[in-house]
Amino acid sequence: MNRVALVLLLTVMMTAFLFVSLLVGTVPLTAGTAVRALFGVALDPRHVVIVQDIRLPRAILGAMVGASLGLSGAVLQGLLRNPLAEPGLTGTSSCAGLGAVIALYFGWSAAFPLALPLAAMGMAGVGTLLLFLVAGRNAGTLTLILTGVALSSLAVALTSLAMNLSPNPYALSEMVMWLLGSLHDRSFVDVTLALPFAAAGWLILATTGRGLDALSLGEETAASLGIRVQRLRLLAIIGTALAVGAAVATTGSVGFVGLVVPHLLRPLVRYQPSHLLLPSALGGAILVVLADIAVRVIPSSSELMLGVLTSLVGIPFFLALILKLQWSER
Amino acid sequence: MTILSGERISVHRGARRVLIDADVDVARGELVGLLGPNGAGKTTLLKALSGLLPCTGRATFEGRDIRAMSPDERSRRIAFLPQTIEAHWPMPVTAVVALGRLPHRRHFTPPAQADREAVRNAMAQTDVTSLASRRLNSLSGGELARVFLARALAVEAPVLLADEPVSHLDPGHQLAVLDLFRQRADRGDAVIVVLHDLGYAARYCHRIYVLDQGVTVAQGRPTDVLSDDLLHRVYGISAARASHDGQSILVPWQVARP
Repeated sequence: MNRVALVLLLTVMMTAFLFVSLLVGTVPLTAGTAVRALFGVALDPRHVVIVQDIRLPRAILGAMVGASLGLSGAVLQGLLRNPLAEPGLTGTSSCAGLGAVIALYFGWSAAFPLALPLAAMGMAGVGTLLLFLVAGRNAGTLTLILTGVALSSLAVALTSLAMNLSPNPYALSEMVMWLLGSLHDRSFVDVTLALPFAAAGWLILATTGRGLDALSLGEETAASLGIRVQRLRLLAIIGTALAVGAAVATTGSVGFVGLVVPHLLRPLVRYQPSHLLLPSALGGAILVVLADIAVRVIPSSSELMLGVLTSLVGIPFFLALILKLQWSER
Repeated sequence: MTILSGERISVHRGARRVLIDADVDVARGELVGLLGPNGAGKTTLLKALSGLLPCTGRATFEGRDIRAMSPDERSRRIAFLPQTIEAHWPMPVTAVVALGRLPHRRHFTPPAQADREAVRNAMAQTDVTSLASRRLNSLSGGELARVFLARALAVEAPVLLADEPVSHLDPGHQLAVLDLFRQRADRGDAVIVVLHDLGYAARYCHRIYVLDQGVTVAQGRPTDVLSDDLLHRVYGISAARASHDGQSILVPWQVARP
């Protein structure tokens, strides 16, 4: 498929799902009502509140989170030249989660709203940096996964410790709900808190495409083509930390988007890492918005958590991927 | 006229010196061979000359220190073809060859006419045009080697440093690639090539350098350098010699007995 056509198709799909996500929920709306409500001219003022203040920020955040995860996955896979790299697998997401839980534990987020996203992004950065320090520059698949698992486990252990020592049941439930990952009850305040950081991360990650292309021929060839490999690595670290940190700070942990999306799209862009970046961002946005529609549509006693759903869908995919890799190596 | 030169180039790996005060230079119009047994420091010297490896001494391009050049500028002047082929994604052949144009392209700009032409020429010269839309993982070892050579040629740099470019090729393509290097030299480029084949070195190179244990032990015209004494000292072999069409033939014959 043509690259431009692919991007167009994904953009149309994303816009369509964003619109659908304005319609579904406890109060279903027709398309006409939703459009009128979006522009503030609905007959029923409650519809305006539902669309503008509840569903629109939720949809925007879903797209932001998905784009961040998809793009970070594509960049990490290109940087490490490994199809298993993903913000969740490399421990970045768990570290961001730890940062957020620390902010909740000490009650910083109540005193200073930026504390939670900042702590999440800071820990995401620390986690990615640790990964590179331990796994080194030419990490094989095994080293990388083991280091990621170790980092992830450490972050999860420290997160559990924070919950273990949590000052009161209210704080505990806040942490748990937050960790399950959800877009429930998000407002434009959340958008304005997280979007600038995520956007900064996207911009940084967008500049890595050329270097990632060159890296597909190995670090030496990349360097001989004028790529500053050290700087590329640093940009990828900072970019994923910002984007994933902002995403995790908004929704809690939403797994496997960063793994699945670049994988599905890679053959469509003929495996070229730079051509994968924008489609992965769009694809990630589509997947999370779609998942967020699903949690509202699937009938259940209380609303399903987004992170739970993506992991439930993602893990079978991950297993299928491993089987396929094994099968193709035979 | 010398275009690329290294003076007293030394490279340390930990406490060990893997290259000791090597002097090497290449002029426009020259095909220079680097020879020596495994582990002699040939690859190290090539990487140091292309600015990929920290080294002491002075490496210059047209008199300018290559370490003072920006990576962009250096990459347009010195093309490097590594010995081992790394290909992490099964991209189509054309996309891989086009990566050779990265030094000439700005961020977020589509390839220009000159870029497309360079890619086409490089692919034609290395006989990979027919593979254009094939994926890397469907190619044989020899085809891969030619695709990666095309990638290096597509840079269209005045200096090409090639590390064992013919080791993986069949005889027909070995000759074609060496002819190609010779043609590039004749057109005014400078080529340094690491070779293990003494016969090719003797036949194709204008000058050769022989390295042994990190030290340059001989340099000059192949016929002068590749003496029985040197082959015995450096490789521990004796060679059979003959001539054909007025050119000398040199074939490694047997391991010398001490």
